Amino acid sequence: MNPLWSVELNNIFWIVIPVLICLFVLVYFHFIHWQKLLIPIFRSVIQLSILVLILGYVSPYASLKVAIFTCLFLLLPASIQSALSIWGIDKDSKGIASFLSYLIYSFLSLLIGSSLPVVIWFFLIFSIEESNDVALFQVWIALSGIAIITAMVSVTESGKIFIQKLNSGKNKIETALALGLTMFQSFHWLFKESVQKALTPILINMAIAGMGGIPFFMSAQILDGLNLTTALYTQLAILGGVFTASVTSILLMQKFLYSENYRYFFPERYNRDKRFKPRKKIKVR
Amino acid sequence: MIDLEIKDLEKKIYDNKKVIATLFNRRNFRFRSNRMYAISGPKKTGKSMLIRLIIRLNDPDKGTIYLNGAPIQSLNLFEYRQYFSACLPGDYFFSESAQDEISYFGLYDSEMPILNQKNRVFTLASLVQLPQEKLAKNPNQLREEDRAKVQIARTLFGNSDCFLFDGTFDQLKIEDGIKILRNLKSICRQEEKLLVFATNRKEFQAESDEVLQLRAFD
Repeated sequence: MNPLWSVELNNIFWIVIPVLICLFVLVYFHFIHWQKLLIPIFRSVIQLSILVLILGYVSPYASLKVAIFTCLFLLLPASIQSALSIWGIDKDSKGIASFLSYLIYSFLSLLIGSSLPVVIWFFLIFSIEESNDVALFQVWIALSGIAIITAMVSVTESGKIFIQKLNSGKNKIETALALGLTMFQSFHWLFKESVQKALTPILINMAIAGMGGIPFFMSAQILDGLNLTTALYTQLAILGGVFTASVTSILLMQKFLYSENYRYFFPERYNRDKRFKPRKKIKVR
Repeated sequence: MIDLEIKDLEKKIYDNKKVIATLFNRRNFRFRSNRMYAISGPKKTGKSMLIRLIIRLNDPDKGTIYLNGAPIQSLNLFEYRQYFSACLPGDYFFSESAQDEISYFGLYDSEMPILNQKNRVFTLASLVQLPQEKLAKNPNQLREEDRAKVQIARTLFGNSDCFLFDGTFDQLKIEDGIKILRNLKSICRQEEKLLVFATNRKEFQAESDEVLQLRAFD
């Protein structure tokens, strides 16, 4: 079945004109530096082209293994981007070792966080009868990409806020510790602020999903002539999956950053006692 | 009941890995419940450091701290800290209202019912001479002396055995400070609490049971 609406290369220039006008206004009034605009635009074009190439390349070999490998391959640039952003914020550690640790934390957060929705989507997608396997694998990979990228944005934001607030709020943590709270409780305000701010875009997106922002995937399905109710269920499954991936990844990232940083509040004792535990038992008088 | 004994205490202060001061000069201290202690001394003599050492935010270079006869290194850090509630310098608040700020510790105390927490906030507010109409305000927007009162009440909220204040009373008016200290003294006696506060004001020192004078590079 032919799609109801599609854009060809000779028509796409119609959308380039308003984009250029917007860019001109932003740069002319010095609202944003042209480099900051050019880089994401350039990257989005390159990344989309690469994604199409990958999907095109894996299509003839469509199988579970290839799809999983492609998802893992998508995780790598997302993790690097996230680690680079958080590393750039952290003024205390500029070494390559700290970058690698952020990279590992980002990779693991994204991997574990996006695994659950990706697996659920797999079962939902492949439960459809009379399926065209190649197309479904492509859809599954694209959906995995949505989960990974949304989770990456959330993880990056939460990580950046965590590091920023930690650098400026060390005394606040000590204040909480002095009140008799445990280490985890003393960090609670920091988790709260990081999670809230990182989740804000997703929550806004969910709040207006049915009104302002007609979701991309749903509109594509409607254009493709799919039943409206099915399109709605699909969209709910996607929103739920994206939300789960983001929240799980954010919480994991917070846990990793907490484990990395809490010990530095007690350098003397950490060096001596190894994670606050006495080396040998001292007799109580 | 608390019996805190500090023996042969010495703490070095570093700046770029160089020792710039040696504090306490192997001095002994003893703090016991039912009593109120004032720590006084010029700047950089270790008033704040002594409080940080007691709550184990720092460890001494030499000497040992004993809690009821047991060296504190042998105790679990977080169980040890449950005995103390300290107010460190600096206005750091966690909540949007003074009332929530005072009961901040209660967020993590599942044993204390919310109704009791609210009653306790009002009791503490009157104890620290904080007018009730200020309880609804953001603590960051209060005057310095009211902020100090919120911090004192917040420190007293938990059911710790020992309360420590690092210069908090110096932000209060003298008459308010004396009233609060007298209230705290009666609590010390009734509930067998230990209270330690660092101050350089003679009027506040006079309210304590014992004044520990620290000297420069002591």
